[in-house]
Amino acid sequence: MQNSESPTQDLLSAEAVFLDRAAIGTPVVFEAIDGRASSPSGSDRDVSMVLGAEGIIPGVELTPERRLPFGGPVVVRVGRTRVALARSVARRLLVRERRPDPTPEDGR
Amino acid sequence: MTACHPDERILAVGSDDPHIPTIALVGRPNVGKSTLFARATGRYAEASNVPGTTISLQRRRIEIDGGPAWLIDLPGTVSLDMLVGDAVPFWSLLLGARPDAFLVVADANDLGRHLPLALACRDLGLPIVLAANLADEAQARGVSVDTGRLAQLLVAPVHRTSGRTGLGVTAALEDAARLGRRVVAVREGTASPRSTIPASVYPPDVEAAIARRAAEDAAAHSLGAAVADGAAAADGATWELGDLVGVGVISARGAATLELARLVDPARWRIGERWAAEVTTARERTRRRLSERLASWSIAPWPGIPLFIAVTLGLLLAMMIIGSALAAGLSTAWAATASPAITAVLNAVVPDPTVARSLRWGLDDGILSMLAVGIPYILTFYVLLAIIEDSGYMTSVAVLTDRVLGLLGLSGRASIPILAATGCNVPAIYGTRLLTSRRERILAAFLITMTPCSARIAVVSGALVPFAGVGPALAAFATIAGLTIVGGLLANRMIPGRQQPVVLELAPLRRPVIAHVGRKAWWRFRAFVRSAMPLMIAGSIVLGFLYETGAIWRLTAVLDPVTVGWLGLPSFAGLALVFAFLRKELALQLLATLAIVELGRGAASIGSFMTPGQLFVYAVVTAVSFPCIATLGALMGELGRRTALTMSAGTIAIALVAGGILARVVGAA
Repeated sequence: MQNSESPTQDLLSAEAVFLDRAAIGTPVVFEAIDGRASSPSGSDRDVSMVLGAEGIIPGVELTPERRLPFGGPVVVRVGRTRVALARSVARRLLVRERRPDPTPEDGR
Repeated sequence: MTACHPDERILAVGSDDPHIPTIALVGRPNVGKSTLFARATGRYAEASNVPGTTISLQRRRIEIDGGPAWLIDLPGTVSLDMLVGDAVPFWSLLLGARPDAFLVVADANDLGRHLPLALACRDLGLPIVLAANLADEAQARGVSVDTGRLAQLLVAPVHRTSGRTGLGVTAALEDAARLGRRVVAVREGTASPRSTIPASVYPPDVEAAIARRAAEDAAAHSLGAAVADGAAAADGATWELGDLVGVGVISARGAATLELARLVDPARWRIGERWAAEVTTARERTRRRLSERLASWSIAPWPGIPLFIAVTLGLLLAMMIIGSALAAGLSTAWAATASPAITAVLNAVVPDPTVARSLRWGLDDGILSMLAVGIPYILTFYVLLAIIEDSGYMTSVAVLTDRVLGLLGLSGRASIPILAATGCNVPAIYGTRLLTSRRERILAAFLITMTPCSARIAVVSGALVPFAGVGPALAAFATIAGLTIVGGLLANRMIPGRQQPVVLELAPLRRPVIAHVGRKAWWRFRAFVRSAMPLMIAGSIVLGFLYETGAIWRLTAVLDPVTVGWLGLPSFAGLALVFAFLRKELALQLLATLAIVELGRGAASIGSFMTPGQLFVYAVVTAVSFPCIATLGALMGELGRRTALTMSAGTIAIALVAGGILARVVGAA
């Protein structure tokens, strides 16, 4: 599923953002909830189960399609379906743009 | 069919006739499962209901592969994990139904999304058959599936099916029946169990964890936090995985995979995507289905929000127009035919005229009220609701309203029940089943009881518009709305916990299927009548008895400090308020009737003995205090006695406090 970039190159090539700030229309890869995928808190675990039931697991590609006004849900495309996520959930999902060709100049 | 004690229900063996295999249809929402079920049972011989279940279950007997089988349509669920809201009613019914085989319905257009559920069902230990449904749509879009290869991977029969055209339905059912019969034969000892070493598809570390957990003492397993949440305990049943393994509902491996869901589920999704990619070939660019494009439009600010407003107003208008037309027609028909007949029978059969008149309140007026309120408004509402659900628009509504309802501690899913409350609270209370946590159900139910239903709206208009004017009537509605919101905010603070944030697949918008809409609406209406009718009739008889014997007047001594002292209303108005609980739509007639008795014929018009200020207080208190006995019955059934009574106390308290303050503001007290 993931391409074969090394983790180090990933860090250099694309900045991670939270899903509620991700650019509309640009595919991103879901990394983790709150950035701590390996040691979730109680409610993180609940949220990850609910997200998992929709196929939103670490490594999956999402494309933000719409942010509803006044802090409403964020709608993302996952595979061939659309899933609406409460803003409070989207705010906690760490995502990273998938860059096809990382070049040295992209490093920060 | 005997009603069983909830705990025995789980441990009892199978359905009525254990020799007949039971096939359960399982699938995520929006895969056309119900259409497939309707197509499959087109050849049904009889219909029945699984005893002890509180949620209506479709179960039909079919003839397939040379013998009978039960086919059950389980609710759509996104996951078997109990923490995910949909799974709770699913498990409730699964355990009641005790299937012998699963027919897993998937969307052939998007297999990767549906295979995880198939794997989860297979892991439970029962045989599965996969129906790659909506195959007609797939074909039209140039998507093809290699069912042979998928069957190899899944180690289970796979069929392309279409509920709409009937393609593949018989073949899928035949396989399911065959596999189910084998399970029945093993259970009855007429066949030896095959060595079912499940194909190990998961990564080695996951398989090792499953094997380790499966080998542990089964009694240590439990079905998760959802039981503690109270959601699973709604029917009083508590489930231990150990019991389920013991009676063969699920295998030890099944119990282990349920417990290790956090570990196993992501693996299922990865496998699902891999297999789907392997067996599916599609045209390079397949257009988005129209149904999906419509769904996207429905949540865009334009045309989504105007559409939502139009649908909401349309729903209310349709209920009012159809409702009042049916109500008038049925009332007239009743008055001309049944009412005289019932009166005559009661007068002939019952010796005591007072008792006869009391019974008339229940058997004549009470039933009429059910006809004039129940059928017109509630059945109409159920039909409209089923249309909205069937079309897929419900998820769009939930997404659009999520933010606003979030302020009250609810998710967007609560919008439809709350909307329904403006027609009648009773079906709205049942509608709270759509919500995923008990906390949300309680909050939504509380808001619903404070939302004035059509009867209460009529009381407010009827009390104020003729005697005080349109302005005061609107002010009353504004006051009621304000109190409802304040009540909701307070309840949100007081009940611990937080709402589960919405994570919802946007359903494609499809044309609703009339037959399905009709059946769903009818099932729910029947359940409503069964629960509400006895209460309304009993309540009316009680009211009638108290009125006819004059006992009703003795209560004034108790109520006067509140009625006269605090609310500033005439003494008999307190009686009308209390007894409007039994028949809310009679709040004004009761007031007038009692006034005539007390003050003489001249009091026929309620404006003659109550000031506009007093009418305002009366209207608001009537509208905000606890709705009616049918609602109380619905609340008790859905949330339990204690919660229902606490809620009643809360709304009465708010009504009285607000009423007293208003009385002083308008100068009535």
